[in-house]
Amino acid sequence: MIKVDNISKSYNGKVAIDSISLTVLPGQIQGLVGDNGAGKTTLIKCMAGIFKPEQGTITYDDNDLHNNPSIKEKIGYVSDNNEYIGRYTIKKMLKVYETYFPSFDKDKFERLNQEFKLDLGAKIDSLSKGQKMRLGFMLEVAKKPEYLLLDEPTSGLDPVAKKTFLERLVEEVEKENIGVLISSHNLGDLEKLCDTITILESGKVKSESGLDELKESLTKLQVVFENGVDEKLLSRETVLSFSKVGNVYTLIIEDYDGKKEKWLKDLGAGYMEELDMSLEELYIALETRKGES
Amino acid sequence: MKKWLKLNYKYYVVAFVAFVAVLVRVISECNWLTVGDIFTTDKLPLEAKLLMVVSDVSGINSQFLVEYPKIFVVGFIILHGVMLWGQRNKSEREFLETLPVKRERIVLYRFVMDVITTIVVVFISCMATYVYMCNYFSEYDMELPWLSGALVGYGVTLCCYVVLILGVIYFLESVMVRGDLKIITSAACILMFQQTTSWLYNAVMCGKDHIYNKFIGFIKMYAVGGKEYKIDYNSWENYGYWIEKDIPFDLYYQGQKYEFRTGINTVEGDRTRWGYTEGVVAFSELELYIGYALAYLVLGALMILLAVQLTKKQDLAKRSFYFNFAPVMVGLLIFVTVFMFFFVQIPEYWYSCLLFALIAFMLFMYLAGGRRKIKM
Repeated sequence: MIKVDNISKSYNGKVAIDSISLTVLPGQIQGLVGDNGAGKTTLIKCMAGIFKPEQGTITYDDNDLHNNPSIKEKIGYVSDNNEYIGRYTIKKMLKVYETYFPSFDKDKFERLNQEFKLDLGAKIDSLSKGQKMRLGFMLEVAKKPEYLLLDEPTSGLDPVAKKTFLERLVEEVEKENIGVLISSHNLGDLEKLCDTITILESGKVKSESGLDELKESLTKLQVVFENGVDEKLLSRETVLSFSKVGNVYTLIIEDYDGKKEKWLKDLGAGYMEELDMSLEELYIALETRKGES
Repeated sequence: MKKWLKLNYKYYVVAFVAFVAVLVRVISECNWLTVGDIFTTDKLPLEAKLLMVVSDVSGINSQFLVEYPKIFVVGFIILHGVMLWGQRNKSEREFLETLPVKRERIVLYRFVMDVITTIVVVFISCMATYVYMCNYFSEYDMELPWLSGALVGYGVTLCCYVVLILGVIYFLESVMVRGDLKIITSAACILMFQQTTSWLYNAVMCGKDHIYNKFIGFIKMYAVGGKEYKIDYNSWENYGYWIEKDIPFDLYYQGQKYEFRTGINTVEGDRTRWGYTEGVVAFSELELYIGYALAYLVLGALMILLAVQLTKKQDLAKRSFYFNFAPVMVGLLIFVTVFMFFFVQIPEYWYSCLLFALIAFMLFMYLAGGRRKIKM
């Protein structure tokens, strides 16, 4: 288990993350979402042992991470900017991994490369962003980590590569019982993968819960107001967001209950149907409320 | 260390080959031995000629203690530059941080490898120099029994000197974030070091009292406590810096033993005894140089220990300097470097030198971080 306990990190006088606590369990995929500048990358880098937090601790299976080589062997980290050592070829980078990580499985790397199709003789500098991302994933997975930290891993990947990546990731979690923390702006992908979602806002944890729990707090309704409705009456405390096509409104409502159902009927709502809500819709609704407050 | 070495040994092989090639070339091309010319001169008595040969041999003094350190220092700066060039990018620095090895250990491994490379190369160059000189003197039926001891002394002191310089380089590297800036700062500091040596030697060493000389003496390795003397030889005046201690030494010529002393300059009647630079003979006496060699070693060890401790505390989230004191420290180094650069050339205009140095310091401080405080 990765346990992040009350960590804070600031640089250049700016607080990047503030008193963050979270846990990543083996065999689970935890998503990390937040606005640009929310602190996702800083948090992940602290968890990868690159940055040292100014307060708090990060432990892996109760062992402190900081400057601990034996823990670093267990962590796989795919950054959003995998430059590695640019002047090296992929083959040489492979050698670095084989040297430093005793558990590195070259056969696994080669199996993955049959799908990702990278030229081993190519210099890392010459790879595109998507190719570097693929390389990063292959290298980190092939070293058989116990935990994987992925920072925007699908950015730059074409649809086929992204599909392969997601499939392999799930496979690894199931087969090897890896604990994964994945940050992404692609909420559709996270929705398919994640068991839990942590939302960061301004360096703090806004919420950390299972996907289903998160969705339980909000309800998406399709409502028909046959005679129209005064949109000002759709109080923001109740309706987080709405869109409309003609008289058909799609509302996202927080803590929907009988009382709110009656309130809608009083406004003239006729047909009402609860719809499935995507993580993206949920997140946008939450962000919209934050923006307006 | 084995893992790190497996990936980086090529740098050291190349450095080793380059050092050996340069040093062997320097040794083989050196033409400071003019024994043949000395013996063809009829004017001098045999003893004087033999003493001139010893003086000539002290030419290796300048090779080992002036040229060889420069070769090593420049060589290591280039080696470090190649290794650290990639670390100008944040991504490479952060990648290295994810490897399962402690940062400070890498610093130690690099230091140990630099020192091993130095020791091996110095050993080879001492051997090569010794063989070359023995062969050379054997042509004139001469033997200098203290020569091997002197070369050992030079070699040991050179290794210790390089340890000091490496310690300084690693210390400077440990406070800066970017790999390219590490090298520039280290090179600038070492340049300052080299520039100050000659100036300190002339301005500080000569004519000062004995205790002060002893204190500053480590800066000029072979200045084992001396004074400036004037010698006259056939109305030709010469100033020099001579060792105080009068060391006995032997020389064999055509099977016959000749006994000499290094002596200090004295005038006896109408003859002048030569005072020799301490050079090669003094370095055959362990007690005369070992204090200085140890001082270099201790200072170098201190610097590398500091570098290791600072490396442990580095915060990779920083962008230019790892520590708050670093900009001022580097700024002061730049101040001294610029000052010395001008001062050794125009010492009478020391105030102008101070001004140039101050401008350089302020410019550096502005570039290093002062920009934020100025509204553009």
